[in-house]
Amino acid sequence: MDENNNVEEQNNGEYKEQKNIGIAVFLLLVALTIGEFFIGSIAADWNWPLWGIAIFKAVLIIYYFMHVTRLFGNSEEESS
Amino acid sequence: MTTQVDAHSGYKFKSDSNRLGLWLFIISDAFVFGGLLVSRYYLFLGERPELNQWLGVIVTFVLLTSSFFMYRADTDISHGNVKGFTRNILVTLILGILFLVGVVGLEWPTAPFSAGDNAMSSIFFTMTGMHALHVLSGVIFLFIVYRNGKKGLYSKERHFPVEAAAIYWHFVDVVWVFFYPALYLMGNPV
Repeated sequence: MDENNNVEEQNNGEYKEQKNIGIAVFLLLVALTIGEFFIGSIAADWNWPLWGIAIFKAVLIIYYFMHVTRLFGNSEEESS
Repeated sequence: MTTQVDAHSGYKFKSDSNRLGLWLFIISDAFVFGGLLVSRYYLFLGERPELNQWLGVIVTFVLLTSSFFMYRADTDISHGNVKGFTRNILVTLILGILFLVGVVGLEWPTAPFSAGDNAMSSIFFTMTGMHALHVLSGVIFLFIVYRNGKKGLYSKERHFPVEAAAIYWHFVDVVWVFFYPALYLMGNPV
């Protein structure tokens, strides 16, 4: 009984943690997009900072939202 | 022998194989968009089309927000929260349609050029059109997953179609992460 409660608590903890990660990544993406917009507005020739931001945003989405690590056997939730 | 057969017919094994296939498709599709991005630089390196900046940034935020709700839907179903999953996937679907309306319904008709004017206008419509087509197929995919979710076909243990829809949707967002600065921000407007 206690073991079941512990598993449930652990699952709830992971659930909250994953939701918080989603919020943090989303806010970071929003901040980076605002930065991108202002860089583009003031200096259209600054291509490299804009590329840097775009690559960083892509990495955040691929790592946190697309869960690329599941490809390497880190599938945490599925069972047969 | 029996154990080996079981290991290869289990849901986890099938999901792992399907996931690998999906990523291979995503990588091959990324090359198509990469080619378009290279064409954009080859055809108009230091210039960009004169576009509505506010519309560009708004549709970008709409797509980013849709990605966030898709992430929440994926997280919800993987923890057995079916109600949260259906709610979040519906929000993602609506935001995807809004993005399409913004690009195809507002940006295209108000652009100060048409597709056949010059190389720059052609590549603009090809890039945004190809991307919009992917958004449209993503919206259809999301609708199917939403309907199946409402029917109760997904659970905490079995929800690979939701994960596949999420990966595809986030990929469409990643493509826009590169297309937005390339079309709206980099270079001098002409």
